[in-house]
Amino acid sequence: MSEAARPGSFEGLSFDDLDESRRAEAFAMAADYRGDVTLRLEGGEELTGYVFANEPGADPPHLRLFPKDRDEKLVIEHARVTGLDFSGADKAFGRSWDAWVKRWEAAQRKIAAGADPGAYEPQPEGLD
Amino acid sequence: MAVPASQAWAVARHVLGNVLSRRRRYPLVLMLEPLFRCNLACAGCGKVQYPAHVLKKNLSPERCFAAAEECGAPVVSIAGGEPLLHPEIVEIAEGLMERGRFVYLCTNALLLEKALEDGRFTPNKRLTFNVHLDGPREEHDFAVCRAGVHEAAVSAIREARRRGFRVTTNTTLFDNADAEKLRGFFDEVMELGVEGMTISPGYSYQKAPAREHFLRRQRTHELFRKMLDRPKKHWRFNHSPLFLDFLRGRVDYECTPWGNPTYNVFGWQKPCYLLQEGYVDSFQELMEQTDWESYGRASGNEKCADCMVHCGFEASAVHDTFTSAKAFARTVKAAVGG
Repeated sequence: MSEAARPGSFEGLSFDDLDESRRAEAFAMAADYRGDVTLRLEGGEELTGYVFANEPGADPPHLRLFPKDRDEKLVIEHARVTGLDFSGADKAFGRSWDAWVKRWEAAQRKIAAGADPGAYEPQPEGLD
Repeated sequence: MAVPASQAWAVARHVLGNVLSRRRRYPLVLMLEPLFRCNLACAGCGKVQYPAHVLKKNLSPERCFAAAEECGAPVVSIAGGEPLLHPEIVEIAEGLMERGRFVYLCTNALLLEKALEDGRFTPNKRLTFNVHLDGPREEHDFAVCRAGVHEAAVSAIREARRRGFRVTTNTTLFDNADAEKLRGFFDEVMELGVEGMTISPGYSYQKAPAREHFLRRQRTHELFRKMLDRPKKHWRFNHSPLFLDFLRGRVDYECTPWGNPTYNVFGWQKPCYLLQEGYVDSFQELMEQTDWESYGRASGNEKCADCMVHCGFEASAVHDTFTSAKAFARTVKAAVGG
């Protein structure tokens, strides 16, 4: 397993040569991740998208994924996945309630001095 | 009453039909999330933190109608994301009403006034705009991380009421809630002419980014007692009075996670509106494949230990109303006498 790019986020983390003992951890993390992941499948195929469910108790165990480049839902059996990269940006990173409160409180002096409050407000995710 | 008689009757018929046919698990409100995109980025909300290609997805009207038919709940709460960003939201709302559903369109109201001015919606007893207001101006704007949102919401509420629409408000309370301030807030909201207020303790759903600020059970009881033990005559809540008793600790209920099933761009969400433990493609699969015994306080599931949210317990209160003479009498007394 590689190091994550940012502390507190899975972003940048990679799992190589996934075997049975690592799959449960890797797939649970993928289903909890608020960004795209890249699955490396047996045969060399790669698939990038958002994992919206992990079904370890299903028969067969599988992930459910929205591919990034087309509008369909895919079911990927656990056994087909040989590696996993947290390749997309973590959309939850730095967006906690406490982070907002700290940022807002830190900005108060600047706002009192005339800065635009809007510059400190979180913005909706862009669609591009 | 905070709900029209026709809605109360439809819900009563639905519950009684299920009780008489000895159906153990039945839905009451479909939580429909036709998109996750929003025009706010509230720090307390984990519903909108997705990659762009997921945020671009919209449920089609046909998929929304199919979900409503599959599920059969008499009430559909359209949430999200911000539903007014959905390009076909009018078709969705109207189609659901044509299919006999009572629609609560949950909105932050930033786009509501413009939608009304453009004549996109027509007043209908089956349509209610359920406007998000988490408190007085300062508290609400802080909760949604943007100045001016409270003012826009209040203006839209006034305009919707002026045009004859049904409007309710939706308030989520966290551990910093001030009971006295909220009593004043209830007065302000009722002065806007809304037909009812929805209030609920926030709860730590799996991907919420502010879990440590959600209310614990004991604190919820204390807060709701302080807020509601001396209710004012003009306050109207869009809840079963038994659910409000539950929040005050006067009665205890077990969760009914199948009461408000959730359908969104991923499918039917297991097991409830707050937890995301997988998705299935049909309502039948949701009902048959979910291990319901693993959820609720009695199950010992720590994720459920402090949850008192309306999506799990309002259905319990409504079911109790129609299966217990005492609960029915209490509900009638509250409906008639306040």
